[in-house]
Amino acid sequence: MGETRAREMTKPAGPTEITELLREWSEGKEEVLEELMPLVYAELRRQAARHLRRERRDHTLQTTGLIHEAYLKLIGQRHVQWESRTHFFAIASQAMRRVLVDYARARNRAKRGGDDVRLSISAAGEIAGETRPVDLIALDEALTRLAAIDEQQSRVVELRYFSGLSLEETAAILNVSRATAAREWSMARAWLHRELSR
Amino acid sequence: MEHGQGLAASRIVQVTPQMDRDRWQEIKRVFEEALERAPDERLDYVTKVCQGDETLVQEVSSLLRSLDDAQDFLEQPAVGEVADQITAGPARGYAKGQRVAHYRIISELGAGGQGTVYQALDTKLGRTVALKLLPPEMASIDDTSRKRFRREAQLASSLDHPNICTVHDLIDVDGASFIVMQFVAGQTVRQLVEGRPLEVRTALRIAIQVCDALVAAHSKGIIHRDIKAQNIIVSENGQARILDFGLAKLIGDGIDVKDQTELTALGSPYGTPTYAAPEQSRGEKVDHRADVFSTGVLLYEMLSGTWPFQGKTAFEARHAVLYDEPGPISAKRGGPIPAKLEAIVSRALEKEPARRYQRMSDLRDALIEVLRELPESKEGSAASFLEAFRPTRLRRLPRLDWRFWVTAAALFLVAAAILTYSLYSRRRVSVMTGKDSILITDFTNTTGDAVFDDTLKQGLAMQLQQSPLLDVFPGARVRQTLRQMERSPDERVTVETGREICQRNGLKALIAGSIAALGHHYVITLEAINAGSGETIGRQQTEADSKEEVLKSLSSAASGIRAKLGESLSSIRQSDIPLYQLTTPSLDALKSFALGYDRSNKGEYFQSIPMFKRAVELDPNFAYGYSLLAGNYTIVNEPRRAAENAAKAFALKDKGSDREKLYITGVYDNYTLGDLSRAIEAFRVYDQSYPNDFRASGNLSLAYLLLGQYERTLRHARESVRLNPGISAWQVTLGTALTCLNRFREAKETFERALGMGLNDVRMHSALYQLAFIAHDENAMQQQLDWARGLPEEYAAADLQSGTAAYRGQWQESQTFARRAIELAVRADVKEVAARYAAEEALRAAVMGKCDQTHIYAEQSLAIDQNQVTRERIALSQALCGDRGAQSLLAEAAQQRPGDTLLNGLWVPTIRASAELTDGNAGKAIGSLDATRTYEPAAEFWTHYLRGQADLKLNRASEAGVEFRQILSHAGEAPLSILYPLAQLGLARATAQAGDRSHALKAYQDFLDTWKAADADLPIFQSARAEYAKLSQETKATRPGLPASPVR
Repeated sequence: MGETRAREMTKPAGPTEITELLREWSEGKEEVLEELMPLVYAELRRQAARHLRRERRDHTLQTTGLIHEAYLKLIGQRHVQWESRTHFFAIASQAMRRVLVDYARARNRAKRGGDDVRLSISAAGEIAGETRPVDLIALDEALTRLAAIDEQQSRVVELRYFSGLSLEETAAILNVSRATAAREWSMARAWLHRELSR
Repeated sequence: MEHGQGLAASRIVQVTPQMDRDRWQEIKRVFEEALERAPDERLDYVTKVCQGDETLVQEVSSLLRSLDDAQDFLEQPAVGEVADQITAGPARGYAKGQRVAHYRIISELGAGGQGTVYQALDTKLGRTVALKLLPPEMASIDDTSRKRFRREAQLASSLDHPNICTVHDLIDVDGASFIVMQFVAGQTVRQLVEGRPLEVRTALRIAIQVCDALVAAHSKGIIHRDIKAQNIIVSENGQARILDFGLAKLIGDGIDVKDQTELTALGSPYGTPTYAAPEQSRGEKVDHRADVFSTGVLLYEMLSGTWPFQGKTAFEARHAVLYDEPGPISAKRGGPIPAKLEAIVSRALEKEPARRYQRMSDLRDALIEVLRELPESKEGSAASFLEAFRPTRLRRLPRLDWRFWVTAAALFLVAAAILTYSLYSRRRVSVMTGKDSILITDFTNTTGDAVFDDTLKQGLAMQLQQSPLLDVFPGARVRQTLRQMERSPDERVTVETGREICQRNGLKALIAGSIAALGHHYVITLEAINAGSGETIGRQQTEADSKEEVLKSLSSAASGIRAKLGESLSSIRQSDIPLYQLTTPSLDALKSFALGYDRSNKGEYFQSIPMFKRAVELDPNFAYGYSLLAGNYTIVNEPRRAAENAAKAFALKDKGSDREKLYITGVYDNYTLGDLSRAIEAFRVYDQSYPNDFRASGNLSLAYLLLGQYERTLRHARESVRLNPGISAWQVTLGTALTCLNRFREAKETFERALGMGLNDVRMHSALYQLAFIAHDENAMQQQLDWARGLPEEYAAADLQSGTAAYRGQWQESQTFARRAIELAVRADVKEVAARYAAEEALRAAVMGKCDQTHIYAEQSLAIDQNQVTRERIALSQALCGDRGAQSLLAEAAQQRPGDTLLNGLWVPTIRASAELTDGNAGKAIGSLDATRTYEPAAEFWTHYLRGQADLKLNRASEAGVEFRQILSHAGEAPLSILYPLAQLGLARATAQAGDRSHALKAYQDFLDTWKAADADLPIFQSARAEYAKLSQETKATRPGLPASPVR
């Protein structure tokens, strides 16, 4: 259990490993996801936990921002050469989508079991103030339906919402103009919002 | 969902796979165009554009309204929605099949205040582990404490103690902290006791194991600090293991121990008050004597069924520890225990550390003494001991039959192997990369049964040798390294020493094994350890129900450990033959073999041969045993026995592994068939398959030596010796090759170095004698003769003396020594050697012109024993004497070994040439010898000598001179050969024949100098002297003043 190994284990995965797994997943190896997901979870949690250690007393304040940062870091393996950036980000944001929806499912299960969430941080409420919670599971289902009819729009949502990328980044990745990206984004939001409002 | 207002109109467009994409595009176009208008113009625009398409109007306008309502819907990244979930850690436990880092949860083993323990599969290393989920409070442990915990846990684990549960790691996953440790199926002492005292013997056995582990830990400065019944797990076979080394300190760092409320909040905390020593309770600094106290509490609990210090709260318990005296165990137990034992527990429980046992070993030894003094009773039988650990009183663990665990373990091993395979094959990395050597440490044998000493190590080595990726680091190089480390070469190789040896030799990994007897069972543990970091790469434990099953268990453990060393599954499938099938199912045969092998490597063939013989007697199907026996017979010059055993091995070769088959085939080709080309081919394949195996290069070097290809011999022998310097046979081959190449200084160094390494092959002494002979160093010659005195190998010394005397023309003396050599060899039961000596003497007699004696020695030789070599020698001697018997002997030899390379390529034409020469057909003789050119260096001068003689007869003086000079410039090929002085004589004659009188005289003088003490009545000597006298007369006549003859 030397130090090297210890480091390896605390740090869930190097960029290469995640990238490699993403690549394989994108090549259709669905089973790889099983390995990929824990790495993503771990990275998210590690970032969150480290922050908590450092600043215990007001850990509720910027949790969302931090996690956002964490997963941007995770996704942002930009130095890695991919055949196409589009491909990489598409895959990475799909992975993020799976992770985040899984979290939402886990919370639902926990709540059904009558178990209190251990730390009662309502991050969304505290940070965004007005923002009402989004049902990620319902959104995920709606997004799947959207993809069937307009794949580009669903991509935009994945990149913007699940990967937290800006409109400019989204446009660049999809190789469209910012205006197009903005239009797609608007319609997707409108449509999804309607779907979730039923 | 209350968010937004649903519109009935939105139902108009249901997005389904069947939906018309064109329709969607239409909606999209209108929607986007509308968006470009000012918000209050949009609806009008839509109505206008849609031109009566009501559904389109409704659809787009509903989307526009939805967009208005959406506000910042989706504008904050999704992660915010589950931030709480992410930071909260797992809401509750882990489910079966769930992954935690690279561990897959198999089941929950138990939950308690210390956290939940899961059984899990380490998918990277393919082993089953226990994951202990620490309480959430632990997630905030700082890095310094983590580091210290790692160090302590690693240190304790590196002790490799059978009674310490190995901690593999501390990991953080999903914001939770896990301790990853060795999985042990069993019950804790708490579960075993459950309010009822254990049998005295059972309690003692557990306590002794606990003490033993602590003795080891304390020796490394590790204090457990939290010995208690819950921390001792006892497997069904009675093996106790201490859990959680280093944990108490970790937790102590994480939480303020003095804060009682926190402790209570944690439920059953670490540093449990009732077990903690008084100084520990007071929060003072503790030393190893705190563990003595806690072990005392543990003993008390096992013997009485209850605690010595009790209280309703932690505070009360601590008070009791500090101030109360525990009552006598016998009173609580409701039955007597040995007074000595009562006293031992009291002493361990002394409040003052200075009054307790000062060393854990003292406590352990005291307990051992009590155990020994216990009267034999039914209670004490192994069966009842084991009965105590049957999970009959299992409470917290699922009620599963032990067979379940075994089956489960087996299933997971299979799964692990597959996973290992897929992981490695996919990522193209492995722990071991190609052709790695590994070190095997000495087995820790606590069974008290000496049959396991060395046997298991040997067996494991053989099992691992099957792998084309692994080679076992040779014992001789281990000894060599130990010497370099200024340690005794015979020192036991522990894990610690082993790691150093590995580091010095650039080995990546070592395997440590142990065997323990638990009742009638045996537990074999193999652990692969990273030599650099000391971390465990893999661990395998198997059990054997009986002594006979031990090899089988070892075999499966070895397969497992190989898997863990990163071999691919396919490679294992190809070469994995269980040890019991591979070599011998008989442990005793393997034991004999192991002993013989060791002796054989050292060159002690008179000890090794009987052991190999015993091994094949114990198991007549022991293919590899026969093969090594053949090798040993070859070395001691018993080719017939070698051929027979090699043939037996060959007949049984299918019982061996691929590696063994190659070996057996090569040995058969060489020793039985005498087909050196095939042997070389076989060993080349072997070498390519297992390039790190010294046997391949060693046997190649031997084959080339026989062929007289000394440069090649040298190359392969060097390689073999580099791989394993401890094999006497290949050291001898190396030295012999150097001698044959006239590189006498290097040869001498080689032999001396080998002897200095503790190898003790008679052939080394023999070779050093010959090298001293070449150097005219009589003292050194005598030293080597002295060495053999009184040994079974003394015949070899007599043979050397016989050869030396013959070389010097002292024929009578040669015969005296030869007779003695023959007699000694017969006495030493090496009849083939005796026959060989007689044959050599027959040959010497023939060249000296004593054909009557040739006849006698030939008869004697054939009467003692016959083999290929003696037949060749005798046939040659008979041919030289014009005896027709040579033909029938040759025919017999050819019938025996039709494919014999040297017989066909060298000896048949040589013998034919001798017969022709004797018959006066010098030309035909030379013609016959043409065929032998390829093997000439292996002919021990015969071809050159016969060709030289023929040339002399044909008056081809210069050709004759060339032949004789060939002999004189290759003294190393046969230092004691009678043909060397005779070549001196031949050269003198050739030179004289050429008319070069002065050089001829000089050459005659050289010969006469060699033969200065020769028997005067030898015909060949007499003619030489006469020739010299005549020549010097003639020279004097022409050139007076030449020095007188050096001959007396």
